[in-house]
Amino acid sequence: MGNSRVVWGALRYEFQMQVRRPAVWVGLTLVAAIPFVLWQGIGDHYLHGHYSDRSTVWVPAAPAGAVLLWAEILTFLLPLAVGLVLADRLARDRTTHVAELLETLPGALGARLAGKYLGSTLATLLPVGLLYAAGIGDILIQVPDASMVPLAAAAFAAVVLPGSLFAAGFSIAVPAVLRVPLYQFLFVGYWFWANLMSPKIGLPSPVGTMLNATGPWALEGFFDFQWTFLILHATAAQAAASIVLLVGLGLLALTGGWGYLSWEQARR
Amino acid sequence: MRLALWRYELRVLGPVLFVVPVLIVVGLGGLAAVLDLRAVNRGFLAQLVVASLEACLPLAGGVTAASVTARDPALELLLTLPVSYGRTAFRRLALLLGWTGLVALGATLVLRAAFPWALTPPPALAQLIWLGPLLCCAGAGAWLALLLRSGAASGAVLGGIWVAQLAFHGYFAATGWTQPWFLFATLEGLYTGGGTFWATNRIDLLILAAGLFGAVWAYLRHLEWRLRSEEG
Repeated sequence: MGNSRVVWGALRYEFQMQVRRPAVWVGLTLVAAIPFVLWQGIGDHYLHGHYSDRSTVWVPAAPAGAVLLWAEILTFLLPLAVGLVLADRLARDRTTHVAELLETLPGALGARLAGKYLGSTLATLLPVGLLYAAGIGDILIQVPDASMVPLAAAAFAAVVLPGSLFAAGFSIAVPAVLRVPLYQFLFVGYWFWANLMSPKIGLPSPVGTMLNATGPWALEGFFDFQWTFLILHATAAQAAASIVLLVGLGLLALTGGWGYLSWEQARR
Repeated sequence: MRLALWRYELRVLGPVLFVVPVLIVVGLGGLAAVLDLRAVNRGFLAQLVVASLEACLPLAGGVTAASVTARDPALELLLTLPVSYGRTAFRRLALLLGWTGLVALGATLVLRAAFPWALTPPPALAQLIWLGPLLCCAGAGAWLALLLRSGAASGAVLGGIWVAQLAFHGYFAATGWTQPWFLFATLEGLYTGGGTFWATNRIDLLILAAGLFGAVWAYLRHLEWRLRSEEG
């Protein structure tokens, strides 16, 4: 059996299984509700204009700012949730003993793992995309402006997507080595430490580096929009490098998981 | 017989879940001790010590409670026994939370002796730093796991709330409707030098935790709900 057919077969089944899980849809919606409430408070300034904090100067409405702020705030949490709901995919195969059954089939382990990553990630990105679009829809209802649609699509591709792919790669692969609750605990801690912890706290962290998965480099480099507490003076090339690094690290984690599972299989 | 039952439950849960709380307090407490020797800013060290008790232990308790409540490979068998399944599930939660609480209690006393400037409340009150957040996270984790029929999705919601409360602590501490379920009032007090709502927040968290465990108990009484088990 050709590897591409195995990848396609695994992708189709994993997609169908994941997309039909109500827990994924409800869980991601509950998580997205938090940034939505937070965004309502700040986004209003961008939508309708406001007086500057430091003076009485009127700052006019900037719907593009509202779109980018929504992408920013959503990426604080949603890629984390994407990773956490994907963390049980490999463990499930073991609990239901499907993994042993699949080992008896001619399909290569690497192809099956690639199909699992692609299928379950695509299915999880579907609610992510819809939740993101719901926020954009809310902006467009308040300030109808068709030029915001391509900007929203670009911000999704450059900010929300790379972080989600990074989280998905690790969450599919690492539970091969760690138990799911232990991985989830470590990943939540990592997400805060590496992406959102203020440098003012004083603990060394990669928050200001290209490893930040919540999109500060893409927001500044591509859209000239400053991420919450970082001033990076990022260029478009640096933004692209950050995206490549994040997606590449996710794939590297997947390759590591494949290596571990192959070694484990060979040892039996 | 009773002791044997608890021993079997321990084996069902596995040793890893019991090692996690110990690793958290030893790891972060050890890091604080090393940094203190290097004369790192004490304000930061106090935050590190409190974070290990108020943030990290409750998150671990919540995620493990979710995983234990969501799945049981022998569920159908357990439901045929005269002992109610709810009691079995609560026995497992009691084992996990009892152990985590014991580790937290010991850690609070040791850390208070080692860093008296970090944990200023008297020993009994200092226990409230972790008690409310731990019970709330565990109750929410277990309840969401039953409701969503997935430990992983429950962990995702819990993780989202945890990260959001840490990242937007100012918003959660200053807004009326979020104050009662704000998990990190002690950390916020250290950060801002204030903390006027700490005592009421701790009571609110304990009441919320009681409500969440009540909801878990009510769910487990309806065996036909539990039988739907975890979806694929």
